[in-house]
Amino acid sequence: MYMTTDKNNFKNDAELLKMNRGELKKIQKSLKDEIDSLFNSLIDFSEKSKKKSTLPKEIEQDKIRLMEISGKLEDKINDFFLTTYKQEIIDELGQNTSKIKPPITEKNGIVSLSEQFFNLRSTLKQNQLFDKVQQEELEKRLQESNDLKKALDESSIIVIVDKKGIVIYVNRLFEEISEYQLDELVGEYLSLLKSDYHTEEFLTYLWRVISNGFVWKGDIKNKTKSGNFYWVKTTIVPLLGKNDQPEQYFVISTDITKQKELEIKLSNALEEIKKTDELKNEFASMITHELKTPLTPIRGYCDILKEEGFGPLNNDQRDFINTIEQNATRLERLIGDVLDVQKLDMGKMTFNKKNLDVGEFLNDTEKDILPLLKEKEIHFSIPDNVRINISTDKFRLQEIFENLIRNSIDFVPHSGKIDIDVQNNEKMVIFSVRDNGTGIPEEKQSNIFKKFFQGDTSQTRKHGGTGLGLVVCKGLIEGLGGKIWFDSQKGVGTTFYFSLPK
Amino acid sequence: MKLLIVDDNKDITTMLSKYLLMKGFDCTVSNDGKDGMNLIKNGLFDRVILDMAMPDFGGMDIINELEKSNKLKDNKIIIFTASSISDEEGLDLLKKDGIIKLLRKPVQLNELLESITN
Repeated sequence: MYMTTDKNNFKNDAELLKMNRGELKKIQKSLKDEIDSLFNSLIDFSEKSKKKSTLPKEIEQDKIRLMEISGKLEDKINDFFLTTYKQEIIDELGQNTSKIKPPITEKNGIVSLSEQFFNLRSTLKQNQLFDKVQQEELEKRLQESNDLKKALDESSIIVIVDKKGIVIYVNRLFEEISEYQLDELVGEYLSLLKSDYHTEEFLTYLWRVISNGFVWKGDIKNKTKSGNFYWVKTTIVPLLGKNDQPEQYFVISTDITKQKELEIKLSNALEEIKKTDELKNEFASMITHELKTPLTPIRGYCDILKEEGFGPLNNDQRDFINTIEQNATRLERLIGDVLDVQKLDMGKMTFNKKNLDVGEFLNDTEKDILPLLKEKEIHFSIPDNVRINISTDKFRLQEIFENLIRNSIDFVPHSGKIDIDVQNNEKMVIFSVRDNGTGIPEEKQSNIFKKFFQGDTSQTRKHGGTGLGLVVCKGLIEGLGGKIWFDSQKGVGTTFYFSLPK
Repeated sequence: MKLLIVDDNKDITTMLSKYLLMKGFDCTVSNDGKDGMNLIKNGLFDRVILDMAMPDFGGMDIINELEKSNKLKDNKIIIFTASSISDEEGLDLLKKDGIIKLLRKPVQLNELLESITN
């Protein structure tokens, strides 16, 4: 609006100048006549002066007459400039008057006067040129501004409100998203669109920011005419008036409803996951208690019967009890593995690192593992004279070895071999558990660290593994800062390696 | 030696009492937390085998109550639990004067026996 008014003013200026030019032409003609008459008088006077016959009294009279004409002419020109021309120029051109030389203030004579008159004319021409250039520039800027306005109008949702928050203007996109028409909104408070999603504090803060002349940026949820909701990413720019106080607010928004909906869905999903995790946690505790409780009398009675306090057992009875005990142990291990996997998955496994004498540790491991080797008469070896100390969690390392050795026991033949070794590197210690078992089929090798996976599914029943042992090992080793890998050849055997930091 | 076994699972208390009787101990059984606590308060037992997760009034409630009445330290309690107890929780329990051992179910009975006689 402002720009258009300016343009009109400009047009008015141009009209006025045009009118003045007509007037000037008239004046110029009248001046020319006067000047011609003056020159004629001068020539006449000069010729009379040359003729000595002319009476001095007559010359004196001519001189007086000339002076009079000249004075009249000057007065007339001055009057014209001062009243008609200068006044109007001053009124209409304002600051540009500095470019116009002031009219004659001294009586310099006709020549100087006409010079000044022509100077004035050329200045006027320059001013016209200047105005033309200015008008072109103005139109160019107006065009640019219109282009910008159009671009903004097409891409953004725009509202202009007054300092009280009453709508002055909305654009087409605003009408589209809010479902209100311009005339329905103009004169209404913008709070008409309030969704009641935002807190009073949020809205109070927003108002405090903009009413103090600061730009506010943020996401707002609004309500459409039909009661639906939409989200906008909004920038509110206060337009400052007198004393730098906001007179209007320019509200520019983009529709982010879809994005927000996705965000909300995502946050709900995360909340769900969190709840599921809590449930999993509760479930794990429940499993522990509910599964371990019935195992207690099962194992307890096995112990009691084996002690023969209630009468002697025959060989069959003893075998049966051993089978019950072995299965109870298997269940116990399964529960333990499930819980470990759970803890590892949720990042809740704790590691308590302390200095550990590896040699001593391996000797203890051998003692613990010996009873398990008896049934298959497995040859077991650990390296001699290991002098390595590392900082690690002894109990987790025991768990790792137990899992790997049990794994090997399951897959080695009768009288098979299991060899433990350790290499001392610069920063890491590398342990290995080598067996001469069946080996892992090549096509299954990529899956062995996955839950409930065994190299050969028929092995699950045969070997009684939980399918979680290697998953637990990997989790524990990584938790301790190391890595696990293996080397396996079908029919030859498998070696598991794992590194641990010192 | 007089023992008190507090556990809501009757299969467990029967099994334990049969075993411990066989080993020559004098066993009293309680399958209820509050009842068990009252028996402990009387202070007649050399060892108490205490389950943690019991309905209504659990092992932890008993321990807290005994601590409040300043009677925990007069006891020798063996916690016998199937609940998953973290290392931290376990160590916190063992710091209390009156709790001598933490055993996790299922346990080998000779291990329990060791805890009682040591």
